[in-house]
Amino acid sequence: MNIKIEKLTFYYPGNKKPALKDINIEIEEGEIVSIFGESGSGKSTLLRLIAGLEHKGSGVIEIGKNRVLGPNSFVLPEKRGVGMVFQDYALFPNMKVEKNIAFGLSKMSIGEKKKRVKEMLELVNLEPYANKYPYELSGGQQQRVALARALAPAPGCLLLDEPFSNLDSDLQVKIRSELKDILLKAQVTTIFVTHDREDVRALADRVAVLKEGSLVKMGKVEEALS
Amino acid sequence: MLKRKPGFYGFASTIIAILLIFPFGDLILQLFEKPNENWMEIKEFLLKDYIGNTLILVFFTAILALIIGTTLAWLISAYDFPLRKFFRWALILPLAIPSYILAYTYAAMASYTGVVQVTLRSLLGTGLDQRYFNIMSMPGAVFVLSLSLMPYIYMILRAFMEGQSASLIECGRMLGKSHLGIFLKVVVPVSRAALVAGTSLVVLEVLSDYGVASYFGIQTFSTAIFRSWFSLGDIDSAIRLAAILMVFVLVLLFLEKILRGRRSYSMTNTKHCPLSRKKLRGPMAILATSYASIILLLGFLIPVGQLTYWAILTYKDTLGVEAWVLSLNTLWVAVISAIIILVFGIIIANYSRLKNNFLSKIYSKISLLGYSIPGAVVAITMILFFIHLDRWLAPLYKIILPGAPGLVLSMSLVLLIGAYVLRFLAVGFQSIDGGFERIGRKYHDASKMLGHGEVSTFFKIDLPMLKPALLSGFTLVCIDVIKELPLALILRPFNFNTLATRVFDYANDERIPEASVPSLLIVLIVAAGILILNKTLDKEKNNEHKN
Ligand SMILES: Nc1ncnc2c1ncn2[C@@H]1O[C@H](COP(=O)(O)OP(=O)(O)OP(=O)(O)O)[C@@H](O)[C@H]1O
Ligand SMILES: [Mg+2]
Repeated sequence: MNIKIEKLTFYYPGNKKPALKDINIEIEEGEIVSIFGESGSGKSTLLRLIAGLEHKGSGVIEIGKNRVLGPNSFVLPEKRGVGMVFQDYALFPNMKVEKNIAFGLSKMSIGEKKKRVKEMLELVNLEPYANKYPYELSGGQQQRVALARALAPAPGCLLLDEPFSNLDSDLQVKIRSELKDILLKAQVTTIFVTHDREDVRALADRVAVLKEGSLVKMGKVEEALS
Repeated sequence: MLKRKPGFYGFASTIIAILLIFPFGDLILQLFEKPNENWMEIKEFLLKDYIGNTLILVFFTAILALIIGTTLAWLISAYDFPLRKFFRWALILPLAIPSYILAYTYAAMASYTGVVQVTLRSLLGTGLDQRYFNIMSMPGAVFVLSLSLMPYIYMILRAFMEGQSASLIECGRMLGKSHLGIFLKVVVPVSRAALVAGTSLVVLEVLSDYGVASYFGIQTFSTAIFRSWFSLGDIDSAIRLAAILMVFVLVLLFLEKILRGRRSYSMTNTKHCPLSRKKLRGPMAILATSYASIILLLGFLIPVGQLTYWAILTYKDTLGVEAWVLSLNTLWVAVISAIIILVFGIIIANYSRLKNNFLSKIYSKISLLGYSIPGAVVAITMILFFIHLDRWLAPLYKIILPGAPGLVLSMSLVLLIGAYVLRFLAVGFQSIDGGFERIGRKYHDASKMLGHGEVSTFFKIDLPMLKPALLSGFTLVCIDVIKELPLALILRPFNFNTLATRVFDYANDERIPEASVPSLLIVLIVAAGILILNKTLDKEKNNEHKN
């Protein structure tokens, strides 16, 4: 699904300075866009607004044909059809891998659920780990479970917050290419946040550069990063 | 869907907060009435004593409990000596004996016919002179209260030392400081916030104490409040005394805030390595073990031994159907109070976690309030409030309960349970709030991103992850309710007894040995609760290391 953000401004309660200032971004269906910027530039905040986890923003956000944020509208996060992989994955520690992935499939029948979980485990290459608890997995494996969990309900778009920040640098390179494969297979509009240029080069079609809450550049990877 | 929908949690939190502070309105209104003659007399002659006695009791108890609590915590977390592992948890056990039971037991043991005097007479041919050795005195009350409250300081400080201060202590060692030097120069300053938190708990408990002071004949605020109301029927003076006591408490809370500084004593999440303990040898090891043993003996083993001995003498008369009824009464009042408290606690803590705004902060503060309010004040507040409530509801009673006596709610258990909820909500709320803090928001957010609404997220994600916090909150509230005396004594419906009130009644009739069976039942139930709690907390700590 395409995503359209217009004049988005956001203040955290009690802060005088806006965390996001007048952001305008348009993203095509199936595109992989990176949000790049230093720590504290507002990257996570932007994702949380798209996801609906923050709701006091002014401006407009549309996902597909659906206006999820506007002057008189706010769609709850659980109704937006958006998937998200959190910075520290947030896998439910009391559920096995299987149950984590199935958590977003509550509308399916048991049989459909089983099938979908199996598909997702295949997609991320973790079939043997279905019955493990998150803490029994390595960092890279946890990250793939988080990805599988977010993709399982077939979201219209996928948000990734610093997907590699918790991994060793060797692993980062390997996972980057895996992630690219998975995203291409899943064919989902993706926004991912990073502060690493290499991530942007390896994965993104376009990049939006944030600085102190403002969008300073938006465009093709090499142009925008130079 | 509109932006600002008043949520369930906000609405429910507001109702609970109003329920919690509303009763105090009555109390404050009464203060503006013209004082009666009795009050003039109290103000002129007695108030000085009440203030003096209360301050002396609070001050010396706090000091003694601090000395015992800190030295034990330091000993257990920095040294290795015979039986250390055992003492580590056993030193919490004095908390299982309510201070009034400790008081009755020691008083009876030290009396002319008690075990202490009899033994001395048979050994030395002469007893101690009661003029110099009288436990039913101010020093005796300090002794009893500090023994039974010292575990608060010990537990908070031990947790702190085993946790984040370890690296600082290690630093101190590297810099070549002696152990005592480290204790005074490093441990005491960094654990200031923990020390203040523990001490203020002890002080609040002393201010709330009724059982020890009244039995030992010491006139404190709490005993004076009860006496004005129930012996003299002077409600007005009781309310005024309660108001003055509340001023004390507010000053104390203010002091606590200043002394604690900006650091809160809760653990940060930084990784910490456990403190490596120094092994004690020879005389030092014997000294350490003896010190811990003496405290455990005085605070738990001796009184429990004496109670057991009495129980063996009296159980034929006291361990019958009645003991079962008492235990059941006690347990179900505790369980119902704890359940209500947990539900209220979950609502307010969740609101504060999800919104984190000005209003939610106020609600959190209100939930914590009750624990600072001494039992005597809570009792008066609740009675006044319920009597007014009953008057107000009288027309309704006429319709639905024709022929009922005027005071329906005030004469029922609702009054007592309401008072427990008001007083101990803080205990449950803090556990739950701590639990939510540990979980954070991320699982909640993740669940919403996977299409689950507020209700489904709560039952599928929050509640299961909150289980350890709920369990410890539940246990803590139950322990407090089971041990509690003054509220039960005053607010119980006619003919309703709990273990605690039965102990008090026996003691008041000078039938201390007969009190031993209900006393031991309290100690057993509470000790079991404490041990369960200790286990879950340790397990949780291990789990955190695993993650
Ligand atoms: N809950 C919050 N309350 C108040 N201010 C916040 C909150 N979260 C973030 N901020 C502030 O908003 C700004 C943007 O934060 P954000 O988390 O979006 O940055 P980021 O680009 O994701 O940084 P990082 O790379 O470190 O994750 C920062 O200045 C931060 O201090
Ligand atoms: Mg971030």
